[in-house]
Amino acid sequence: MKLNNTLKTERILMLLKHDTFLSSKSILISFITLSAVTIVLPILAVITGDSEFSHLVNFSLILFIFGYVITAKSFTDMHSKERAYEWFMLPASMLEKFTAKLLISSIGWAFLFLIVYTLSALAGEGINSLIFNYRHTFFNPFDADTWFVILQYLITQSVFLFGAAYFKKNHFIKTILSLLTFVISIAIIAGLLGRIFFFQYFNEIIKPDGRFNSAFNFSWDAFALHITNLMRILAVSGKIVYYALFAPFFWLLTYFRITEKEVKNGV
Amino acid sequence: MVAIRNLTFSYGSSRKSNEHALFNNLSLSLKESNIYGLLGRNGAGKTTFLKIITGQLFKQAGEITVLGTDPGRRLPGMLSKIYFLPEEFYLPALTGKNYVKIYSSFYPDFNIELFTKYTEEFEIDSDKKLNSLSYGQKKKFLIAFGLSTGCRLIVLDEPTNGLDIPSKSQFRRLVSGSVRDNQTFIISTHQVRDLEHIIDPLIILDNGKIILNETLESISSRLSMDVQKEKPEGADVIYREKTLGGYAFIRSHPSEGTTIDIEVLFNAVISGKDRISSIFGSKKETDNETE
Repeated sequence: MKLNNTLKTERILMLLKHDTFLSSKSILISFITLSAVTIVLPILAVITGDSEFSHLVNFSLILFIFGYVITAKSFTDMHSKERAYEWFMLPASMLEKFTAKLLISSIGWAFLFLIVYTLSALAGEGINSLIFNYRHTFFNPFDADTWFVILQYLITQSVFLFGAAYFKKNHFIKTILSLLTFVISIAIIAGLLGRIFFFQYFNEIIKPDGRFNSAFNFSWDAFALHITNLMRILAVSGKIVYYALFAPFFWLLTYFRITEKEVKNGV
Repeated sequence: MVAIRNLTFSYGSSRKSNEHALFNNLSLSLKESNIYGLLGRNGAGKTTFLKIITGQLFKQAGEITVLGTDPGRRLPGMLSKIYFLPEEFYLPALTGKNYVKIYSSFYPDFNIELFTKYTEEFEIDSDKKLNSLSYGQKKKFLIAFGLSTGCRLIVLDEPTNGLDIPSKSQFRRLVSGSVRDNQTFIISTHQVRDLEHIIDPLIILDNGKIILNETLESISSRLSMDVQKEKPEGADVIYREKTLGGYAFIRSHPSEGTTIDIEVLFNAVISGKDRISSIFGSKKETDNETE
């Protein structure tokens, strides 16, 4: 298999142009709305005397929520009965089509929103300075915290990209519900494992007759000493899994899902 | 151009067992420079067949080669040489000119002069938003675009549905005038009258089987058609149907100057599959002997 038969920058650029051109109107409307919200929020915060207002929190909330919604809509063409043929027949490989969707919903959205948010926040605080002679701390797009937030978005959106490829309809809600189910399952498993591995603590807390032992004196120091090594291993391996493997794992799943996808039917 | 050997395909739950396969061991070979007419009753599998050869559906078994590659791999090199127009299509809210700007770059052999010529002939205004056009105009736009892509395989599913009478004759003229040496058209249709005189050879699909795949010349060399007032009788009459002025019928021997009425032929083939396959089967045997 020749690589340029399946991955060519020129074709990815053509797909990016195709995708952005086709949704140019909704992109424009969305960014105008988001820009207006970003301008109004700091002004409202001054009017209502909200001392907790933070541009970083606002930026993060919009980045994540809108980003996940946009990502969850990435493969609507592929699932549509009317439009699927165009998705499959457009002369580009599945890898290129996947890459274009990934770039738009991850880096594309994050960077464009970063620019829009910076400019709009600047405008909002400018208005605050002029009218109220007061402004919040400017939003700094080069701040390490901002980039940390963007990095978290780039990693976690991969789950929604997979949800977009996997579910035929209501991609966003179904992905959220699946995540909740997964998290609850993990919590139950963790609880059961805790019960198994730290059984001696449970034995001391609960009396043989089933009642709580009020005389039990829990020592965090003793507990921490007991699990320090385990936690250290878990923390390091958790970081490796999260930062290095989490997103590529879901990208791979998404890619496989779209390669095996077919049009619905049509005798 | 298209080579299919022992294709098996099923939908839904019967996929694993192949018990109710739509296609079971279907074999077919399509050559370059032809305009194939794919005919069949509703549910015969025409659209499914077209979707399999264009890589939109995957085969369960067998071998398919389209332009030298397996269409299931959906390689860009192959996709840029295949244009598919489905019966139900999608057009974005773009002007015709912007559509061409966005989509033509995916087809290296796209010819803008041809596109302008075809849209003029179809009287389509490329400055108009495509979603504001009527169904027929949208279809004509996509036909004009498809014919201008320079694709080697052009697959049209019910292209004349929704076209008015002048557009149907414009379509026939454009298709017959645009076919090039290395190009093949596969046109699936119920409206055989709309495509008479341009489709040749004919492929008739019924219950997932190819029951006829012959050129009109080959058909004329085996069958003759006629119309008469009285009910035609005789052992060589393989099919007859009542028409307004009498009976249209088919005899199992050639006759000079006979013209093939595709609709009558289609009805004859569907109602007497065994008879037809024995006629063309025996012809193939004779051809093989001659070779």
